[in-house]
Amino acid sequence: MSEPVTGAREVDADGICWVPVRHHSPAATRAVRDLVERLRPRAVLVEGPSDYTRTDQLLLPHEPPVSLMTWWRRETAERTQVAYALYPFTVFSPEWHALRDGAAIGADVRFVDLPWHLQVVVEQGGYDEAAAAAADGVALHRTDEVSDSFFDRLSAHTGRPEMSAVWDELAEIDPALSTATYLHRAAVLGAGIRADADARARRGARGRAERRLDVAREAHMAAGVRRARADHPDGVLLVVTGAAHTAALQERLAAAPRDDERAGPPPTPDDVVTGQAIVPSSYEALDEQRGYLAGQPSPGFYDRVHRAAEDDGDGPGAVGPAQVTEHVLVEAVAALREAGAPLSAADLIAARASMLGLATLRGHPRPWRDDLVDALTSTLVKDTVAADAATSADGGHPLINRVRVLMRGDAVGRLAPGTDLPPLVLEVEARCAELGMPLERRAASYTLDLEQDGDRTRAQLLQRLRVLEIPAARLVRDVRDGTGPVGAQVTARVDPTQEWSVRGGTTVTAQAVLASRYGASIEQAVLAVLARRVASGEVEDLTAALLDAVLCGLPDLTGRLSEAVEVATLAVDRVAGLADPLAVLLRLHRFDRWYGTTDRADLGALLRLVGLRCVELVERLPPQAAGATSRDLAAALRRLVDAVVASPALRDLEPRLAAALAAQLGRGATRSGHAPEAVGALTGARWLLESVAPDPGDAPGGRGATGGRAPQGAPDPAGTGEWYAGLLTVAGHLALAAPEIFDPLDAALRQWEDTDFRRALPDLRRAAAGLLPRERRALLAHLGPDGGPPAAALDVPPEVLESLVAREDALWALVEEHVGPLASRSGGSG
Amino acid sequence: MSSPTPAPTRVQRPSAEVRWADELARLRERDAAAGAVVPDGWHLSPRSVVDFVLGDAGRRDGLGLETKFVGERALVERCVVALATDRGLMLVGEPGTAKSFLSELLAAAVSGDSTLTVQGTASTTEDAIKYSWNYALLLARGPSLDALVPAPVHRGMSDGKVVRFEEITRCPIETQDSLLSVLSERLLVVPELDDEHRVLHARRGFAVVATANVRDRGVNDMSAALKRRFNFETIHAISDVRRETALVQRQSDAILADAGITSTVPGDLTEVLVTLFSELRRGQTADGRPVEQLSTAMSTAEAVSVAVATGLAAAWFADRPPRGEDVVGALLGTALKDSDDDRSRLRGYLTRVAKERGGRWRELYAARDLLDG
Ligand SMILES: Nc1ncnc2c1ncn2[C@@H]1O[C@H](COP(=O)(O)OP(=O)(O)O)[C@@H](O)[C@H]1O
Ligand SMILES: [Mg+2]
Repeated sequence: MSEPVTGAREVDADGICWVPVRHHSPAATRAVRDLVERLRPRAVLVEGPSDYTRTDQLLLPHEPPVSLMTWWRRETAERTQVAYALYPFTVFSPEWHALRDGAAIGADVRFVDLPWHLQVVVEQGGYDEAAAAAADGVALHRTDEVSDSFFDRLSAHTGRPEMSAVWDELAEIDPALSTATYLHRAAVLGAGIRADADARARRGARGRAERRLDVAREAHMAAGVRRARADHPDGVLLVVTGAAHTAALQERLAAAPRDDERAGPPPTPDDVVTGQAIVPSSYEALDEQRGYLAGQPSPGFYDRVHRAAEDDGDGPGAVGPAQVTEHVLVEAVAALREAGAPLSAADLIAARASMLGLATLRGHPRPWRDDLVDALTSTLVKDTVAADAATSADGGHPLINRVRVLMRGDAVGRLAPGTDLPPLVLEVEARCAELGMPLERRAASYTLDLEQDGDRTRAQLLQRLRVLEIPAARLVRDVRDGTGPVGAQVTARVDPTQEWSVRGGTTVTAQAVLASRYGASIEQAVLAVLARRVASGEVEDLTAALLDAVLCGLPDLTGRLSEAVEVATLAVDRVAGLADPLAVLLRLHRFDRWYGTTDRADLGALLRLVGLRCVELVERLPPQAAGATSRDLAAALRRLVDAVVASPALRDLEPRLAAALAAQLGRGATRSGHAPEAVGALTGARWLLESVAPDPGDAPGGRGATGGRAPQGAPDPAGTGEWYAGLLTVAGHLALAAPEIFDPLDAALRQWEDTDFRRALPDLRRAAAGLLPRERRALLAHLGPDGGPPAAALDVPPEVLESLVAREDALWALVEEHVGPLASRSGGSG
Repeated sequence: MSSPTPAPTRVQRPSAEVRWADELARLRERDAAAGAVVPDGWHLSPRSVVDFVLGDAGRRDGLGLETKFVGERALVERCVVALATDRGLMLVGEPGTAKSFLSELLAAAVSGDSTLTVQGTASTTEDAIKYSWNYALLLARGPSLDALVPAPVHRGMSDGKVVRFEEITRCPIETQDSLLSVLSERLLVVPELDDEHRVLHARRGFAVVATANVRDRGVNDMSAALKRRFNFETIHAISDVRRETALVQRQSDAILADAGITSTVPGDLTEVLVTLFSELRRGQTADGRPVEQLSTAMSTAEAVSVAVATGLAAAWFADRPPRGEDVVGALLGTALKDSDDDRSRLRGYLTRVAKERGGRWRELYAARDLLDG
């Protein structure tokens, strides 16, 4: 470049060039690269943990996004604390290029920020106060969450509500922004953010804690800058830090070291172990981290912006900076078409016109990300968009979500060969070996008996690997808990053993490295993964995570999750929404011995709560529509009855459930507004409950599939196929145990016309598909002995039927061989 | 075109261009001074339209424009660009989210006239949308321009103005579809007229802003062809409790003052009321605990009515400043209509949520029994 070096402005009297940056920013990257190239600094100082001494590791040819993970671990008599933080680097991170370009010209490259484990001391007053488990990695590049006067004014001025958008307006959108203008704007913005932080510190404890941390970090960084100046008395020092720190550092350097700087950071206690490793990251992970986590929305978009600036429109297939967004638009339309959206050329034209219109209205020198998303939202979405579209993970609408995914990008970082492995990888190998299940290339098989403590610990380790998606362990056969549906005849043997297949290999190592982004230890990582899974707050996600927490042996999390499930349960207003949670809780409750939860009263209480809520919802059942609603209801009712009957903890709900069912049915189809299938399901539930409820006159122990009592609720004479489908879904399996309850059905069916029957056939078949073959046969045998419509309509040649029956018998013989003889309580069948 | 006369004090609710005539004039001056590009047929530049709709509070270089529609700037920008790029604009949302208000503001700012409005109902016919005939003249002189009685679309096309179509989805599909050629070819054929007058070409500035209510039939019944000609914008309830509280306070104060009532609903009570609305609307408390949603929409407009009813009840029947129990009473009378389920859900909310909170929440909690029976 022939331009005269504008050294006077860029480099201060001490020979320091201050570069205020946002941590992921193509514009900041451009400025940094330009400055390194022109100023040829002697040293490059970057805001990163100064205890990281392996900059050489960072300079290996990794493919970003990668993160520098730094963790600490402290073991005391009472507890083990592990926490970690991530410093993510993308291909458009100014720090990334500062390090590499600096090293390339032979500069001394250093991290100067306060080590992270010391930041914990400053911020939280010491390790004893430190949160026991910060389930999510904390990240230090605080970028958002400003809402104060400077920012408010800036926001009003630019019309953009979030910091990332305001930054874009100031720094990113204009592709021709000069380094000088960049430096000026970033410095002003940084000073403003800093002023807001001052105001916050005056207002409250949280702000003061943040301020304390900022000050400690700046003291450390200032000392680092002075040391580098002393080490390199000549030439330029390039100091790359978050914009909000720059002004404070300049102020410090302009005077003699203050006391805090001279005193140095607090010492690292002896019982604290620290370390760092480079781990792969992904755009997906970066995109998720919002707020003050060091995330970056739509990294894929900025990646393109960065690459376009680097290529500057030359080279084959290169896209110039001005065309980036238009290119993304074309790709977005292609992606949407691929996803099945019927978009015409006219749609594309309208979207493009709208994008350009928005860019003009907003004064953008080139169309930008929000112009594109807004244009697509505006022209292509033809229905409603969720209220939280801008922040929700799914974009509030499938179409916008597809565009978001495109802008998020799918890059996954790769570590260069020769990179040191992160601690989690080593821990996985060590723990497996320690428990006698070493990871080797050849898979080995282990049978673990959950009633034995040692084996349970092994199983918990393997479950943790499963949750982390590290393919070292595969569950080949689970325990058999012997729970069949209530009233079913098949009662399998109870078997507390699991069979696992365990192996090592490069895929296992690779996945473990990937899982390291969640934490420094296995436990930490599992906690982080489960915390992410429950972010939705949905009761189903919560119970699934609760189950995993139990399987992984994480008692603290189990406690916290059961509280969350409790709260979420109250918000569920469909019985079907609670069917899975109920089943999970039932299992945990009944087999607490296997899962090491015998002492957990909270799980029992939770089971009751969910059961109670289900019964309440049956009491208040709103009209159930035909189709999926009724089908889901049927499936849920069956499980609810199973649960109420099978669990001592729920048994006292039985009369209330029976009354609720009776009340629903008592209102009749017209008044209740239920579709026939729902009425059938309610009827089936009632039969099921009655067939197993203790008969007052019965001898003790009369529970179980007792025959002989005609259930109430005769079939609807005008019963449709759907009605039967509902009934059979819930109670069809009673055909084996208590066939006589189907007598009234039989009679009703026999009055049907041929055509009626044929019309009902698809629904009947659907219901029958849910039954075991044996139950199906028993039902058919019961319903069809006199020929009549059923048999006729089925129209199966006798020899085919015979061969089918023979095949099923063989199958059942095989099953019995494995699970033991099948009980047959009602005097043999079929 | 005659400029609107200043608001006569007797008018119950002056239209936006009358109420804010002064702001519109200042914006025109600013556009002229800055040489801003004003699209053909528009009264203001797109940026000024956006500023008019949102107000410019908090901007140093602002004109002191009042905050009117409370919402995201990006949303309003999209609406304005839709109109500027000759697309129809469809505002969809729950009742009471200011769809009609926003369309009125847009029409006032773009055309200086928000009165070309079609009200959609099940019995709306093409006559009420495009044009009809003065039958006396028609019989006397045959089809002629004199005998034609222009409806809003005809007038909007000939004058180059924004036409508002309220609750479009309440109209029969065939009636809705009569807009198709108007929106795509931008012309209206009056087959009865002579060659010279048969085709009316829309003047620049003509555009259609429609509103549709998701609680009605919704937009699913709308024909695909018509959908394609509209840009859809979903209007949501205000998400920021602080801003919503300010709006509800401002509007209820004004209405109460209009009714001659000197006391207003105290600020902390308005805040409780708006928080309650927003939590029940979202099905979640501010600290993330789930609550059961009501079947009522719980819109901002509804919150204003409840605040007004609260103020009226306290002043007329109790002669004291409004309290929490008046809010519960007003909720019962206005928002809940007569849904038993909603009543028991609201009671559940007060029992579980209000109980733990201090201040005015106590008063609401104490009044929860009003919801029984
Ligand atoms: N976001 C908002 N900004 C300003 N006023 C609002 C807002 N939401 C609701 N309101 C108030 O509610 C009233 C009713 O709005 P309206 O336009 O009739 O609703 P809609 O047409 O969506 O049913 C408005 O006139 C205004 O007083
Ligand atoms: Mg309306």
